[in-house]
Amino acid sequence: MAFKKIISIFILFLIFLRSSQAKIKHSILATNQSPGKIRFMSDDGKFVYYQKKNGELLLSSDFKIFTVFKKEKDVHYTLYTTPLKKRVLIEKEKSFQKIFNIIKSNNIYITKFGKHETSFISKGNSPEFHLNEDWISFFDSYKKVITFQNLSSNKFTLKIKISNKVNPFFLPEKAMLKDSSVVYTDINNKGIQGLIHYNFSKKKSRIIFKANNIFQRLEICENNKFVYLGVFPLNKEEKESSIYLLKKSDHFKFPPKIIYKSSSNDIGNIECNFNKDFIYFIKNFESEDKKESFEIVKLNLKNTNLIKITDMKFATNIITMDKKLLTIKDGDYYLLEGSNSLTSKEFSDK
Amino acid sequence: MRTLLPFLQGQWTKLYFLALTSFFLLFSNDLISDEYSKEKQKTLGILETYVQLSKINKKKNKEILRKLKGRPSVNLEDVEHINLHSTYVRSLFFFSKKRFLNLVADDQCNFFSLLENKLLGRNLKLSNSIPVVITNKSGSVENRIMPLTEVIQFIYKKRCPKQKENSTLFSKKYFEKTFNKFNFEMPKNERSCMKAHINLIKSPILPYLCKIPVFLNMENKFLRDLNREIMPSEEEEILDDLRITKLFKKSISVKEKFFLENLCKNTNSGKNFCSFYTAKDVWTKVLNKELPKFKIFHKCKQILGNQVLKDSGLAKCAKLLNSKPSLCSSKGALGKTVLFPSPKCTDISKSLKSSNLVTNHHDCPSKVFNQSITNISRIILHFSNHNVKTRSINNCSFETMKTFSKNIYSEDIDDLWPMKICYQSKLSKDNTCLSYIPGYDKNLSVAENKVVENILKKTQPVLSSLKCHISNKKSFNPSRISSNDGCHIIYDFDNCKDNKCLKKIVVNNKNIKNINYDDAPNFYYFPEKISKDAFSSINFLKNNLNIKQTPISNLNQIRSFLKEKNNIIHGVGCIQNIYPRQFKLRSMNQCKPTAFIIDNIIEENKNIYLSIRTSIDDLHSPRLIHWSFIYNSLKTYQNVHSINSWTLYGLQKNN
Repeated sequence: MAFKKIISIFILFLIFLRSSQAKIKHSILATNQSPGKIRFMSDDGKFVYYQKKNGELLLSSDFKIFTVFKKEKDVHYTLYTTPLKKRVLIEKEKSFQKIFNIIKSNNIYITKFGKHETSFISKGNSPEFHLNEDWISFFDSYKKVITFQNLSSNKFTLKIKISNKVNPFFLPEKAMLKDSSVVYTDINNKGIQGLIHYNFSKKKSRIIFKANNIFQRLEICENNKFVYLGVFPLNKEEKESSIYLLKKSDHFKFPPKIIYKSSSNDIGNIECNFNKDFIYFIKNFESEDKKESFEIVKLNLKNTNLIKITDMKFATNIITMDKKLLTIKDGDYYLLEGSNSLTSKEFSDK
Repeated sequence: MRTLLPFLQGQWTKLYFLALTSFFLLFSNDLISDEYSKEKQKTLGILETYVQLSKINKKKNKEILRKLKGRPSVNLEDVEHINLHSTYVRSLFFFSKKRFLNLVADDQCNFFSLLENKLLGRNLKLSNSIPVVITNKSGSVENRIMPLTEVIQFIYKKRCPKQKENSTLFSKKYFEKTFNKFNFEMPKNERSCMKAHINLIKSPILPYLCKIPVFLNMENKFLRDLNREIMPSEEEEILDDLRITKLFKKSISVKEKFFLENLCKNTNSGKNFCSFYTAKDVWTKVLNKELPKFKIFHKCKQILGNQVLKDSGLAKCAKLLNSKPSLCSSKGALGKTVLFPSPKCTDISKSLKSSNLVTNHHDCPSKVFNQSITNISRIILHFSNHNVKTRSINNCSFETMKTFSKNIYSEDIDDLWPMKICYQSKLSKDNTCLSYIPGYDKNLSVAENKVVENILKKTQPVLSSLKCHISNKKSFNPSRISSNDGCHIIYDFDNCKDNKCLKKIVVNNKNIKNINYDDAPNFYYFPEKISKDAFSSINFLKNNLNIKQTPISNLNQIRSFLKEKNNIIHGVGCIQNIYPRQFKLRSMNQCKPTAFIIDNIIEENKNIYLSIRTSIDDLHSPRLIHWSFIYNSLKTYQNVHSINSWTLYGLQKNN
């Protein structure tokens, strides 16, 4: 009897050990059509925006197909949404395969979520929503101007010209605290990045945060209440990564609160709109013998615990699409969090 | 004062010199005039001492030669032993370089070998007569004059048979055969290198080797000397020296010359000598000629701000790059036209040490709107041996466009060629468009100047001999042009938008308005459809430059393909996957396509990096990126490509 007990405990122990060492498995994102065509898919699959080879951008909704943009040669569409799902931003890039230019201005359109009628906003790049989708921002790399545009009836616009002269391929990060108050990143003449706060009504700007050297990059992720400021390395030698929390309502009481600090060479790419209790980013789990391994982690905002959620060795990006958290690896989209209502296949370390 | 020995050890030389200096300073009234001594009761400065002593040595030498001139010539049959006169030796040592005096060891043969190769003294001529002290077989000792060459031959015959043999081996007749046997590879670790250095310094052939760089650097001096009034025997000797120098030039490579210069400059310092061979960085390897100059030349030109950069400038630059690794991150590109910051010098050095891409030019990515053109231009200049015109920030984008167009365009694709100049025909009033290649060319019929000339002759009252020239607005001065000065196409490089720079055509001082450029330089990089006539710049390049393209899909293929020195790999991927730190992916199937070149693979700490230059990077600052990132970018681009093409290929010349 005692012997049987010992054997059972031993077996349980082995199972426990095995499960704790089990590799993280991920599901491939299940889609109703080729993932290469999809530009946005709602969580319930009810709304799917997809692009065909002939250049048409279509909306599939309630078993009906609507044309968002007619067929056109050599175009590429990128869609942007937020968890609010009020609107969809559409960036239309012409001469997608004929002109390679990562900073050119593309046509930016907007449509109501789940709808196909679009209206033209402006030309620019890096479009994004702010302040409950009441505002959008975009950037003109050649004129070096960030435009914040209101989407209500008055179409009010605010413009800021950035100082950057050292990096022609720099795309500034931007966020809005309220209607007349914005933050954005810029580079000074010495090549050092800074986070600037600008108040349009008072016409005052101030530097909230400055990087230590030219190898540090600043990135912003904003949600309704907070702005997360990431400070991450731009090369593989720098061994300092940190994330700061800034409350929108406090108007950036200095100094910002540090919620993550590490001596690792992280990539960053913070995602802060998927889950209100966590933020997600890409961390470097360098081994003792200096072999690099980049994985997606989630940081618990309550207790600052860090949990690794991938086992891919070279995860480099995080995408939020409605209630799904995704990453793309080797051409396949993987579901990290959220549900896959359709059939899926397992991914494990190849 | 006689010396018993015709040569002195280094120590003795120094003591002797010091004593001599002190003697003259303290006791000779001739040196210091009364007037001078009244005004300045202090010792002479170093330069003044040198000048005075130099005069004294020359004077003493002339005196002794004059004194011995009338004496009978020497019958070598009766001579037992020959020593050099002390006055001559003193003068010889005074005018010799320290690095060769170091070699005057306890070895008479070595001393005369240095003399034979003219490495001691100044303006030594073997045909000149020198004062000697002869000991006859009978025991008598006399002072005489003899030609130096005869003295050397006597000593070799009597006491230095080995040196006599070396002298023959390094003569004009046998030099090439002798020299080809030498191996100039030095061990890469310091200890072995310093051991090899000691062996070389002790070798009896060292004077013959050190003669080579000295003579190569004196070629112009020999030519100048011939133009002076000199004695026939001297003229004969100088001509002979010139012949030997030309032989050296023919037989010795730049790398070997550098080796010998380094050896003979550092006779007393093995550490300095070895620093060039034990250094692991690319900058020093370029200085010691192990690697080609272009690997650091253009970067150094920008860092030092020199338009003309000589070897001394490169050495200064290499020192800077080694001591300040962060310098490469912010400096070295042509203007502020690249992704910032660039990698550090240490990383760039790792990439460039064994990289394949030939980068004999500089370019300016952000000034070329269609960045695929920059990549193609880099590929063209790698495979072709064109002399590249010096590029500045004003003309770099234009030159990139010109390189691209000249090598892609052919008559077969004239209809598909997107760069046209259009005009309205006088008769038919139809809009006619003709293909053109930007820039001036005397012979090419589709060159911009030629096409505009043809159009003007059809539409304007101009002479049939009209010639058009292309100018930069900055350097164009309308006030210097007369009313019948012909045609000028003026580019305003400060006024460019979407890859189109403002241009105007001026003929006989009048602006021509009815000629328009319809020239959006849009080209598919890889074919966008599956058909034989699919237009793509890389397909045309392959044909025009006779290049073979091989699909590459994994690391093993990359490793084996890049082993061949001239091979490179190119591709197109999404920038957000190649550089996830700089460009964030936010949406499904978001992609900014970017062309790139891979030319090296580095394995470090179990990480596998590829040395990559995207079309937005500085040509001379490759980045080390994980293969997984690049593979990811290729797969993501494949998803959104019109025919889901795989876009990574190796390029090599067709045999």
